[in-house]
Amino acid sequence: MKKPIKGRSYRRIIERAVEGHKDSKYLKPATLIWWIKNKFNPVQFSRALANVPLDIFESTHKHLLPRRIKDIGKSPYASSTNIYAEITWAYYVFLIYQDELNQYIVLKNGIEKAICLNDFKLAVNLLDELETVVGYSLWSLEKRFYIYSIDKNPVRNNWIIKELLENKNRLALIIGYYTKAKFDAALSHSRYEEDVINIINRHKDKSIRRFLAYKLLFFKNTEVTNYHDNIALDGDNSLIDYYETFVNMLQLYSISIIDKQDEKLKLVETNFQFIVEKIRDNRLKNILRFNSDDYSQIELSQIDADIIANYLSDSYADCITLLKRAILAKPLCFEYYTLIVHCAIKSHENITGNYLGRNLCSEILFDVYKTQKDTLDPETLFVKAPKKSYTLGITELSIGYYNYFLNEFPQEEILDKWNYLRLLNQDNPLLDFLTTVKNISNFSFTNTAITNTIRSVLVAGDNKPIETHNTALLDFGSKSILLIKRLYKQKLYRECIDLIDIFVKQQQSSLNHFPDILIIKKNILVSQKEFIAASELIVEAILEKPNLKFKLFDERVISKLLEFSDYEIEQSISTPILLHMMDQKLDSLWIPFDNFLSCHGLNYPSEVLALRDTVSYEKLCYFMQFVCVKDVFYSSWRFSNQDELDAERIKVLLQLEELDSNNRGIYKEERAIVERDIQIRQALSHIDSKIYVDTKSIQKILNDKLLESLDRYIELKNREPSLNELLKKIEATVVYIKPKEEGEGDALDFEYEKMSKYDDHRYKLFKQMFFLIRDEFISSNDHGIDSYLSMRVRHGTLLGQIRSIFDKHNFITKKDDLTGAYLPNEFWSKKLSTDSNRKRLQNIFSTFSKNVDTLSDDLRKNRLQIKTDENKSPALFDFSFKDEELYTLYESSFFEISNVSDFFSKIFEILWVKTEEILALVREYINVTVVGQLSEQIRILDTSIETLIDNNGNELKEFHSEIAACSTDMSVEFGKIANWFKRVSNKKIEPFDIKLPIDLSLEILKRRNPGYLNVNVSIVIIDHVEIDGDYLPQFTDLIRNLIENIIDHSELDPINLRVDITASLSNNRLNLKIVSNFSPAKDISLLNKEINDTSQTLRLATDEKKRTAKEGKTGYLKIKKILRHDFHCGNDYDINIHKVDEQRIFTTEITFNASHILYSK
Amino acid sequence: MKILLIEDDPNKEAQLSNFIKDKIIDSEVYIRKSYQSGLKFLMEEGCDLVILDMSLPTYDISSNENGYKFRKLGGLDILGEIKRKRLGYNVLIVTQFETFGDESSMINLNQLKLKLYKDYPDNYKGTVYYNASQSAWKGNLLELINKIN
Repeated sequence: MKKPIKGRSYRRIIERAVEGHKDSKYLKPATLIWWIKNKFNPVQFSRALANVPLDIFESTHKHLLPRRIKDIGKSPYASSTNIYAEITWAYYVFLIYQDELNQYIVLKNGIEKAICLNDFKLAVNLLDELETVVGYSLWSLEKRFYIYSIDKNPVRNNWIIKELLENKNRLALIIGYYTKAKFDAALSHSRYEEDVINIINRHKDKSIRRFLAYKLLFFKNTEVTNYHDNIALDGDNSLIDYYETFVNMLQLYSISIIDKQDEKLKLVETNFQFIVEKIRDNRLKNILRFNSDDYSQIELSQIDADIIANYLSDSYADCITLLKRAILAKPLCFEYYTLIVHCAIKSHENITGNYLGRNLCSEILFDVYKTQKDTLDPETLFVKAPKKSYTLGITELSIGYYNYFLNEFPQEEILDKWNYLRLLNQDNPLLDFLTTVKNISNFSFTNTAITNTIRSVLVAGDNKPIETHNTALLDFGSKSILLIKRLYKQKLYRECIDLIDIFVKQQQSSLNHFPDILIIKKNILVSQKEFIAASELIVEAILEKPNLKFKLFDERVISKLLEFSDYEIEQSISTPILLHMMDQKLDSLWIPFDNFLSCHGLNYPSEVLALRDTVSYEKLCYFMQFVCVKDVFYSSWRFSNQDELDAERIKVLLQLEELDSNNRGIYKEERAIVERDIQIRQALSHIDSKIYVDTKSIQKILNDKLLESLDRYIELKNREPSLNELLKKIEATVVYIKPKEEGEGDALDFEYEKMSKYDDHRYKLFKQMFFLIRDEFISSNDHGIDSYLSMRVRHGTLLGQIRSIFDKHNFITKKDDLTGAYLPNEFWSKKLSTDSNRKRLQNIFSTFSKNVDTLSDDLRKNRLQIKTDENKSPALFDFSFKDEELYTLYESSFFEISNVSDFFSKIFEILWVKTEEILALVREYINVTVVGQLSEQIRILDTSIETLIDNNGNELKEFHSEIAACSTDMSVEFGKIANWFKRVSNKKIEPFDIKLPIDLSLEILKRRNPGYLNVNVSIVIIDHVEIDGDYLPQFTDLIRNLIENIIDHSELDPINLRVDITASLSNNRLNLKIVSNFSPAKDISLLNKEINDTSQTLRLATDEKKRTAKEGKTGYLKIKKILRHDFHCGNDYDINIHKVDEQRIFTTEITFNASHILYSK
Repeated sequence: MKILLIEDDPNKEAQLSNFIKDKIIDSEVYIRKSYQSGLKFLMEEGCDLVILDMSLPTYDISSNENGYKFRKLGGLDILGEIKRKRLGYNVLIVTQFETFGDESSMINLNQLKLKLYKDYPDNYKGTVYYNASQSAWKGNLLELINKIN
């Protein structure tokens, strides 16, 4: 208590002050206020007021009602020493401006209500009125910023900022500026906080830093202790800002003294009670009730009474109808939102994002609903809830909303504050009891019938006395928590757990207090080293409310589970489940997963279903859905390949579809993805093989040509014995014919000596036909092996594949286009070279690059070639046949053949056998010879560098590591290349939709270059088309060429590249439309010239080589070839390459006759 | 002596298996090329000595199988399973690498050896640094095998 200033002294002070104010020599206005705030007790203050002419005070405070934005903050600032000084001064100010403040309260409600309902026109009108009647304020600017941001009116926002910039009050300017910033959609919540913290930290004055934190970071939970400073600092901005801060600070101060009865009493006894009488604001009444513990006079409106009655009698539909009306009437009352969600869930009604129209109320309602339905991503919420709360400003609604999400993911130490703050801001705290709980014995309602109904429902069964806390505002749940906490602190663990169990049983998990109680129970269990019980508690709680995982996370439990030293822990299904819930990497779940299976004598994930009678249904479903996944059980030795792995997951998913039919859709969706993976993998094995011959087409082309020869062949067979038969007969008789002396030979002898079986007419005819087919099989431009070798192996693919192995380790460089010399190896040069050895180092790498390319070229140009004659060519595809070999085949397999179809089949069979032999040789050559040669090159590189670099630093160690890794990569990658030379099984590829070759193409590109992982391809299939499986390799080639062309020419990073593919079918004509974007750096006119040239060349050039040279590696020639020959379109196709438009969009359209490739059952 | 060599690099595998067959009389060398096939052999058949490569594909690579995830420390994974399943096999590591792990947690070969001795005292018997162009590994490997044999 201040020491009273007696007698005339205070009068003198005031008089001097007044004089000083008049001539500015004595006390300045701020000093005057300071004197009044800090030097007078309330009685003296009243006397002072009586002695000071009102106009003096009015002139001191004229800027409390700013008429222009730039006048905000012009009032004098006077600090105070404690909150009571501020209350006394506030009482005086509020008395003067009582009418304005009451008008403000009315308009504030209207403005906030209009904002919630998105009625921005009304909100702006009301703001205009407020600013006319009461004046501008930072509060009203905040509302305007919000409205103009949502309503997309940057002009108005900028005008406000411009006005603010003229303001000389730096704090007002900062607050105004950052108030606008928080509505900036492009500014993330965390960035906003970061920026504000930066600006706050620039201020040296602690009280200013705290004030700014309160104004701009209210929802960051910074501790507020300087209540009176904050009130004083907002006292110079405007009446409205002063009042709002006064209310907020009184609320926070009340919370801080909740356990200090004397302080509470002191507050109640100040002028504050008179302020409550003068200003019609429920928040003030709440503060008074909070500190006096008197709630006897809470009034319940008729609609609230009806809501309560309906809710308690389970009439949820009626309750919802009333609540909708109530929200529209009082949208700031957050309790309505939680109640309506409770009712909707209980009556199985869905709430959409537009439930109450397109407005903020619906948004908030939808958030609450999603949280209750556990469909809201918690991480998003952590960012979203405070952002939205900041956006709303400090209102009853934003505090309710923020507190609600804090209860979902609370931090224990700040939760109490926000729970109380929510109660202090509620228009009617009574409603809270419906969604929390439920001891209403301290309340009396004006409507006794309702009181009795509620009591009979709620008090029934509540026969355990709960300690009465010193604030009667606390509900039953809060009181229970207090008691539980007390028992916990006293280490009465058993009693505490008993009470928790009773509480949970009675109150169910819908309570806000549920998480706090679980935390206490979990802590007790952990402290007692009951880890299994703790993990089961956590798992069961999270299964019921997934959002609790943040709150229930406990490092001690996780560490214990990861020790893998306790059989009982390993045996519990909760162990792997909890580790999964707590975001342990899937890889690391293998051990707890396998331990669990072993403990139960199980070998495969799908056997877990056998435990359905001993494990809870929810846990079993969770375990099967999230833990029995490929990324966990791929460490099992029981699966030999990915197909077996996928098959097991499919088995588990099928079980889940039966077991958990409510989520069948989710499991089906995943099963479709796994099946698609299998399909892609199987298809890839076909595509990966570079060996393909279109025997169907060969037969079609040669059929007519061979028909005549084959007829003759068959005729010969029927008409005469084969020469060989004849010769055999002669052989058989020749023993009786003695050879004549020289010169005496007769015709028969002559014929016998000169003729061989290979001269048989029929064999000759066979041979002729055989080679005709063989040549087509090998060399046909359109269908033969050579064509496919050329297109899929020699033309770029092989070289790229080989180089990529060495590129990955930075051992190889490219040639300079102009000079042909290898470019310097910058990577290793930076790490290894010095000025003295740089040149030699580059020579070593150039030699290595050159040798790799030479070996690749040799493989490509000399080895992977066809030969049909016995010559010295090193070509590995040796399809030459000697007569002995061929004749044996003829005799054993063709002698009896009498129709064209069988003839073709037999020859193709022989050619495939030959091909298989060749392929085995090729694979061996690649795996042994080529890998051996390249290994030698790597060895030379390694030793050359080691010799050159004479130290053994980390860089050289890194180099050696890369050499070793490259060596392994090389073996693996060449193994893959060798597998290109495997003929795929004869198993027919299933008919496919167009999405499959697109997926395959992307998969191939991603495997070749992981950078393509981010390529964004959208696929729109307008008409469902099924294509014959035989055409999958070619179709994939076609799509891959198109996508590769786009990637190569767009000059965009894969992440910025967008490709849209649309497929449609009309009259058997398939249309593929491929749309992509181009880099902004590309010159469009130049680009379009290139496109035009390519189109012209493709159309006009007749010479194949010329066309190949000029197509600019666009792949269009390959596409044409596929269309013409593989898809049998002839000329019935159209490739339309559009010019790049102004938006840098490039479109290619391919339309072709698909009748040959469509699948017909 | 029944030896299981788990190695996916054909050249290294050939060098190692030929050397062992040549130097260890009565040795039977079984080759497996992946984490899974190696572990399967150990679970189903067993052996006297396991020689492990450090990095392995999960599955044997074939025309229909790309090996699934490549395990940079697949050898350690197998060693971990041997310990966890209490299989009691002797294990040697033969690696071409001098450093292991990511940049932030990189350890060299000696540090790795110490770690392995500490974590797998019952199974781990030593590490040999393999370099195709050098022959020092041969002596080291032989010495370690003879110690076990």
